[in-house]
Amino acid sequence: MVMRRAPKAASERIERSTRRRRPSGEPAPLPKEPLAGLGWLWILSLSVVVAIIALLLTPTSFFLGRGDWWNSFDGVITDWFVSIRNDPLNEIARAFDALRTDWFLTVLRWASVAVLLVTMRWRHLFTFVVVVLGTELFVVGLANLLSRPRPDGVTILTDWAGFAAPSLAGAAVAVTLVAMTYALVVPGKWRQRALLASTIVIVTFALARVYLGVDRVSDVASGEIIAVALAVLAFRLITPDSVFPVSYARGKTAHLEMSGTRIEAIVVAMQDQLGYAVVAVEPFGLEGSGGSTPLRITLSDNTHVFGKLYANNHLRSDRWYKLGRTILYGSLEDESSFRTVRRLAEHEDHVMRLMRDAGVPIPEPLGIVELTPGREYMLVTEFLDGVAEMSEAEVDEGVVDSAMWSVSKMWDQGLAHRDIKPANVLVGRRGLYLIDHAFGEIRPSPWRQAIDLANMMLSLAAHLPTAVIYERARDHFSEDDLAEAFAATRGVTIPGELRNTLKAMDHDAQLEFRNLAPQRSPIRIQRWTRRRVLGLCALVVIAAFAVWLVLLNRSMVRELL
Amino acid sequence: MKTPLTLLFLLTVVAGACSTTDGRLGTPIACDTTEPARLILFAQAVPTSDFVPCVRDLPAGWEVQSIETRTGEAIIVFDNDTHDVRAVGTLTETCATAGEAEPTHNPSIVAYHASADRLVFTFSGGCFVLEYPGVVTNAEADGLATAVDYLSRDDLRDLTGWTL
Repeated sequence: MVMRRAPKAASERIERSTRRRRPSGEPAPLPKEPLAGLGWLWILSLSVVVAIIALLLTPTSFFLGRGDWWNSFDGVITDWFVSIRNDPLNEIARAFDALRTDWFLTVLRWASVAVLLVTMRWRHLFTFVVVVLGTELFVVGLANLLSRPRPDGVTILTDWAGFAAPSLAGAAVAVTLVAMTYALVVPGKWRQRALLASTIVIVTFALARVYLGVDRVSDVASGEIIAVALAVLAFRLITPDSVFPVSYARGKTAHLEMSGTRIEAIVVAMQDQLGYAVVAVEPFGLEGSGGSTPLRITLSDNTHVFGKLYANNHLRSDRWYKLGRTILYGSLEDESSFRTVRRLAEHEDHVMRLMRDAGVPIPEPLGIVELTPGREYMLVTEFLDGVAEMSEAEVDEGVVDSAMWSVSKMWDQGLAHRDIKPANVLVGRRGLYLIDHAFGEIRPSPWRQAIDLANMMLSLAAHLPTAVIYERARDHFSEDDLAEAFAATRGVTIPGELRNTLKAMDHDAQLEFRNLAPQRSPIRIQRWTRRRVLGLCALVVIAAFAVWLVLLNRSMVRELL
Repeated sequence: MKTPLTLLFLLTVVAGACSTTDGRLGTPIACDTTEPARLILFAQAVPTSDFVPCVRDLPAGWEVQSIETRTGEAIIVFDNDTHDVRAVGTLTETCATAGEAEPTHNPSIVAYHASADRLVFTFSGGCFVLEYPGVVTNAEADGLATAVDYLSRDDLRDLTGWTL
């Protein structure tokens, strides 16, 4: 098969209208509002409670006076609840009070941790553990500082321990329910319903505590407000839904939710920034993409373009993946993470243009669209119709020639793809295309280029005998080049998807290629670096912190509930 | 903006956690009634007790490590860093007594040397048991027992204005 380019570049074929420059001061298409709505309300509530507590700390006997308005207010409420006491209500109140018992909270929390472990939502798990245990310890610390005794002149109808305000029991129940809601429930109507149900339970629990005479209304309210505020803020800051949505759908979890707001922002941004009139946006090929959210975008003239949405979560996923791999296996040569998502989009666009100029077959780059400054960008390219991933395409010797030719072009021009695998090689009537250039490198090391060659040959090995591929490769590369490629290849240098493909094969393609090529000693890749040592140390420190938090919570909080 | 806020949040939580490491209820329970919150909490823990234990001058080397209160009991934990030993005083409504009753300086309180490592003080509606390990000498135990004074519930009411 001979690779041929389209007569006209996609950028010329696709109709564009006038672009519009966003004037200074006008919001971006998808403004950044991580704490919109309730988030600010909780910040305000937390600030008010903390301010009141700070004021009360100055005269420590404030809580003890009988004539001040604060105690009078609490006293009136408590007295009213005491006046309506009767046996059935006592039982109901005690039943709600049982929500704070150690076994009940422990079951709820371990169940939540189990779900988060099974679904591998590590960020939510970290936030859940820190916010639940930390909030309780924080409230115990505040209560000790405030030293407010239990309500006076009232028969307390349940067990208690420690000081009254802020109420540890109220905080423990509230933080557990709210943290569970944010960590486990899918955003949207189910989250809203769960929050409503949690609110009802939290308020009822508070009323039961006041009824039982164990907490005053301000004791339990302050504990619950602090707990809810810390939980809401923690989850909104550390795991914002727009970037880390809770989802139980199968497949990759790094994809962004294509909400109406985001689609609308894409339509506006495409029109304003690139001059394309968009009529439809839909996810496309999600199963093959973990590092971005791929989209098929339909334009007003019924043609398509391809959008690759990048957000901070993709950047973080890449960063964590590389850090994890470094700790486990050591650093790969020249491997570093991008510091910002803008740089990632810029880099990929730049590499694509260099590849295009070098004659490497790739989809035509059409530009970058900014949705949220510094946070969310979309790379727009030509949409390739009638192509299939290599794993699903018919691969003949012509495709092998195209593949070898593409790699040799990259070698000649001083470029490396760095992520060659069947999902990133598309095969169609017009030839072969390399896609996904986010990890592409300019002036890579010879080792990097050798890995590209080996991975391309291994990708082809699922379709054709290794001897045929090797012979075709010799038309483009010397025997020494091929020997170097397979001397450099190790498990860690092969992308996961390709590794799985190789495992599924009934022969060892890597070994066969090595045997076909001249003998050469393996090239070492794993090594200890400062980053690996620091990563291991950080891992130990984090683990120790988590254990310390759990032990401290067990010793300081459990017996006070 | 987000990273500093996240760090601030984590620091707040850690600071809260660290603030509790000095003891479950913070500072010691002194007979000095300028800060009577802990005395009130003791009185609430054992509402039948006519007296609430508090601490005056401790023997050299000893300090109050922590106090704990819960329904039915109030606990003072004494600690001696020099000898690395602890003694525990517990206020409850009732307790077992043994040995011969001995009068104290307060006619409403009776003391019992229940065993070699256990002193019991009984009074109307409550008792205070001081338990200490065998390595604590009798003189030190007596010093600890002397350092624990008893404030009457009526005096506490008068001082604080609380019903109790």
